[in-house]
Amino acid sequence: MKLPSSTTLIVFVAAGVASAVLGYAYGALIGANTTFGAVAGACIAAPIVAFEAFVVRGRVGERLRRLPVWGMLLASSVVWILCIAAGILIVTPFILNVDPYPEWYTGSTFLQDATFFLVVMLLVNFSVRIHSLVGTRVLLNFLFGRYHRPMSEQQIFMFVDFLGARGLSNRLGDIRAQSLISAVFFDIDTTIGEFGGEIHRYIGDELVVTWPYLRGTRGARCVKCALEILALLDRNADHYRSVFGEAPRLRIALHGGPVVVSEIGDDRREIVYFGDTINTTARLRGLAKTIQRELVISAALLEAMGSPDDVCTEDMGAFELSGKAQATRVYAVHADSQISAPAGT
Amino acid sequence: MFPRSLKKLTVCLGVAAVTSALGAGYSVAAGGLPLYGAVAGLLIGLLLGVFELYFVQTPAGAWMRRLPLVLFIMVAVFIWSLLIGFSIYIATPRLLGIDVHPIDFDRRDVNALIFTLGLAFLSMFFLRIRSLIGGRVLFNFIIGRYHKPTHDERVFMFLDIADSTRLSEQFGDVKIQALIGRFFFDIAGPIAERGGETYRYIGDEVVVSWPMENAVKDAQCVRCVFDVQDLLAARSGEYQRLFGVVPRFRVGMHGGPVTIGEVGDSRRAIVYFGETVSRAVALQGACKRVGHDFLVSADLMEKLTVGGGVTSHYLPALELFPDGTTIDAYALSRAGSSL
Repeated sequence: MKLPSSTTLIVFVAAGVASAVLGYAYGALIGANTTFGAVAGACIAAPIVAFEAFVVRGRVGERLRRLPVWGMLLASSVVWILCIAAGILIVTPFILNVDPYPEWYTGSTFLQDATFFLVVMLLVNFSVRIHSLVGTRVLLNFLFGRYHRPMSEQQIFMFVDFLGARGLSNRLGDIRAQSLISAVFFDIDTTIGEFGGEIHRYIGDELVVTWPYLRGTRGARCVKCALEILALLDRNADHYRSVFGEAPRLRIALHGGPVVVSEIGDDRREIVYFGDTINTTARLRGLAKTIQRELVISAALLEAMGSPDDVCTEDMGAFELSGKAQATRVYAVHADSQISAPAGT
Repeated sequence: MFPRSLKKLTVCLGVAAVTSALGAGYSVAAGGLPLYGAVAGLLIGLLLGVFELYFVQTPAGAWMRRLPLVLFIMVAVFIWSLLIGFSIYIATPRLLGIDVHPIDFDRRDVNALIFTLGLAFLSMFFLRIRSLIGGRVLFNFIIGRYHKPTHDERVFMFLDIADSTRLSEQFGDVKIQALIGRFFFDIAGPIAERGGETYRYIGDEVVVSWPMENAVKDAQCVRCVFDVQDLLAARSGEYQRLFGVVPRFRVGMHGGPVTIGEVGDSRRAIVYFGETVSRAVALQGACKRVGHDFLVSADLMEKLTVGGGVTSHYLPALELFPDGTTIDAYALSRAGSSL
């Protein structure tokens, strides 16, 4: 298990405090002991957040995360209910050294208290599952209207797609090809998160990842992320072969620059990126197929990162990519050891 | 349109029935008068339903929907609270002929108010989240319908703004993005009225899909494009004034079998996959090359009865893919229109 990141710690503390406040308010509302409410709130939240952060999001939880949403909701609710019962009946009485429901106390029953926490927890649980459909950053940006008026920003784009997706569905059939694509996108999701990338969207067999420019160039994270994805696919090749009959190959293109970010739509809303940088990245990905390299990057982005360690670059020349007059210089990137072995051959 | 207004009314009454039951249930649980709870719940449901459906979601409420989310929620919370307070403390006592003395406010009243406001804000939260995800997608995601990939018959429309690259060079990226935002905001109405589900936005492009039977019925998918065109014509003065240009758009449309599946782990989505989608994209891409603004595949046209006023121009064997795959298509336009 890895050390918890600072974000995890912040979430952990914030959830504990929020639950303590909630417990306090609930205690005040029903006219019961507010200290008991506050301590119970914190005691219930702590194990639940730990469960979510270390079990569900960890290796062990992979099986859980592959369940449909209702299955996951059900499974995690069982754990949450146990945490609630233990928090009210065992842990809090132990910490405060009091009897949980003394005979003289008639303010509420265990059933009422548990129901209250359960309803709150179910709502939170549901929101946690649903937020994966939108993305945390997108949700926050929406809430605060950051892109309510179009804004120009520096972003890095990574386009990932399958080599020969049409051939894939001809050989495997649409359904199995889609299953394979889903499996690969599930497997690389964690890697992308670890390198600070954000999955912007899925378009058929294609995945678009973004980084704010500085976050992506620091420590050459965007390049390292791409290399790690390719390495992960190599490591999993036997697994894919045994399940689907073939190991998929990816093509990745990286480019960065100014884009306009904007909120769009009425009853159906989204945050979209717009501008030449995206078109160039898309063409770069097409180029990766033509020149048969697994990972290509624009010179502008590569130079912004200095010369990253552990990677070898190969100058592929200049190409007409942006739709404007000037050509873009393109590099292929390889992990340290494999410079002489052109990908895809 | 009659069916749509009927649907709105049904939703309003349905919501009122549910809130009325909730109110009665709460009264019973809190040891109050069930009738009071039921009537208050009914009123709250009706008022909020009418406010949402007959104001917020109509052209009159467009200014509210254009607010940043946090402001929108603040305005809506204020109005909802007024309506809820009015229902519980003024309208219901009047209707039932019961005296309520505001001075006697005890904890029971506070509880009732907290319960009602809590539920109301939760519903508001879900309404807004739903717009980020799409109602049908949200539902299918929860029941796990596409957890394993499945087949479906759907029609896809790819609609993009013509010459957006040239426009943004001329007017600036940010300005044109504002124009695109305005355009997609405006056309959401006609798309929804024709039963289209906005799947997603990609830069200057919107992807809309229909279940095959909905699209084919009354040729709704084709009508939708003409509705968008009418809307643009009606508002051309406004666009000219705000942005200095009236956008033109191009459409590619095709229908057939698609595979639908859920992808991702920490970030999830429901994606469509298959030849049908690629063909719709390719048709839209071909618009510029063949000099038409609205291309429909011949396969889809066979299933449609577009009726009078629409001219179709047959374009056999369009070469759409680098591997030489061809598609027969029709270019559609209305007599006397520029599309």
